[in-house]
Amino acid sequence: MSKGEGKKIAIKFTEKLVGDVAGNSLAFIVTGNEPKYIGGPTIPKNYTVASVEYHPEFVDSKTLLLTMTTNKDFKNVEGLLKVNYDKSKGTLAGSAGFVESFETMFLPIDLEPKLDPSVSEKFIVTPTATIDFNKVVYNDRYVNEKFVMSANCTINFEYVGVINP
Amino acid sequence: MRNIDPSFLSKLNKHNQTIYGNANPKMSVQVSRAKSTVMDSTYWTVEKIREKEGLGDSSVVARRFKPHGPPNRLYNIYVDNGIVKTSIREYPDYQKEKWQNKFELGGGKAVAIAFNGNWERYRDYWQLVTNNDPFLFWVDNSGKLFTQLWDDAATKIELATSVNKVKAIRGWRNVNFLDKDHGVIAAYIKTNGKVYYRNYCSQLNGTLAWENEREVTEFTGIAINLNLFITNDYRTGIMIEDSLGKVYWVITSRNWAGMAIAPEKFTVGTKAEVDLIPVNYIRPRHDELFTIGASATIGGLMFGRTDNSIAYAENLPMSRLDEDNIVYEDWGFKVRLKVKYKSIITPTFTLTDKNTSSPLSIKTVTEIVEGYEYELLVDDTLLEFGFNIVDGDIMIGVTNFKNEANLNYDIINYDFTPINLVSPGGGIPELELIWNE
Repeated sequence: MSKGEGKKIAIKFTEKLVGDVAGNSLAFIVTGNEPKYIGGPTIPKNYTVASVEYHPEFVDSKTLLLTMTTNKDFKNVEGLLKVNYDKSKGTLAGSAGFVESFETMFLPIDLEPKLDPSVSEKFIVTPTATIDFNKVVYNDRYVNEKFVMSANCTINFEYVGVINP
Repeated sequence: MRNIDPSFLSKLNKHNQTIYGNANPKMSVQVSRAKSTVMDSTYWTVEKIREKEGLGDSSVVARRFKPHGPPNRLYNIYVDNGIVKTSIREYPDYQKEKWQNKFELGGGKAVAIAFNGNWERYRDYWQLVTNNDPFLFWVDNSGKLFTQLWDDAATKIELATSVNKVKAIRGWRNVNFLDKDHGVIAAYIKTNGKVYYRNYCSQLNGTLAWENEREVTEFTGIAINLNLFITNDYRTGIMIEDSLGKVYWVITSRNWAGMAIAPEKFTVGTKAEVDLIPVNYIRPRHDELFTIGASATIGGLMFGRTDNSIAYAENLPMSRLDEDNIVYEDWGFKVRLKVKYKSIITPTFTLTDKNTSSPLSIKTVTEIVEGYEYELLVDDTLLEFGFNIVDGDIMIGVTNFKNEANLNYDIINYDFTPINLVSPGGGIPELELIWNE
């Protein structure tokens, strides 16, 4: 996973953290602003945290690694990224007590934005229908009958980034 | 009913009843109805069952198929010169067959008998409508306590060993809650002088089963005699005489919910308005029939108070290992609390650091006294030092618990101050640096 995908945030604390930190993903809220599409207006976005863990590259138990949920990454963010921690929802603690709620902002670097091209596309789907007529025998017929037939069509849209990354 | 005196009966049977025939046909009859069988002992029928040398323990039970009127048969199990025997007596005994001996169960020294059945309310009183056959209980000469359903030897099982005496009764079964069944109780004294019991009662899955042996730990003396009783306020009790001649009661809580209050009848009227739309029939073939129905359903109506509170809460020590693998007592992990009124389900508990509003994750909840007292253990995988890091009060939250009428109690929030905490020291972690990867 490259830095440009905007999926990981590392947070270092002044003191060691104790206990399991895995259940703290809901205590973090990550927000920022990004263009709606190329050349479009900037809109606020929420980036959902999928997991919280001790950073595997730091053995001091002071650093956490937050991983964003798939398709909720911040690679398109413009400017500062805001990170909130709510102590009433989390269990982060050091040996002397619980970590206080905090809010901080930082400028993420080396991101590789992949914005919506916003080019409208037009699909024309021509269905081919096969109709079998069954013979109907009318006995004691009173009124004419009218048959109405309809056809359903299913279209699968594939993520353009997968086809033409 | 009383029997007529034989001399008086012979005078009544004479063709001519005259003074000269030594019959003075006068009768003074006073009729009164007993207030109740308990208050007026003259209402009872006293009858000798049998008389002979070597009779021992004996127990009688009545069979009743309807919740009103007299029973329809009496069953007896007794010890006759060291042999356990059985007999029955029809009731009423129209054929004057009296007690009829039935089968024997071998050597034994103590017996008891009890019916299982269902409690049915008749004119505000609950009556046990019995099953067809009673449970027999007997202690053989080796001290083994057996039970079986009357004469069905296939149902014979061993309930206990080293038993001296046994008594049995059908306790209260709550008609609304499957798991509130005292069951058919066989209480017995073992050779060590302690009192135990086993009960045959409803399980949560709807089946009936003999539950494991339980000791009556509330009684601490040497038991000599015992008996069982039920009360009109839905308790079941054991009466025990100890070796010093003192008599003790051990009694259950009330198995009352839905039993103590007679069901009420609601009549609900409905008002229906029907708009009839004219229908034009063109060349109709047959008439059409419109049927309009309405229905209403009212659930079970029971009441119990929904307010509750915590009688006490405290933190307790727990043995743990320090970094040198030495055992020490840590007061920062275990909380014990008691609610004032009984809950029929285990509540949901939360612990919160009152000062920082941070949750203290709970790993396990253990029920210490059923429905009342619980022990909470803080999750040490999330909180390495438990609530030793708390500076001040802890708030206990209690939710999702029900009273005996199955109504939810109100939510409880209760603060207490933990004692003997040892702060692990160090500083509170603060944000130092943040970056993306």
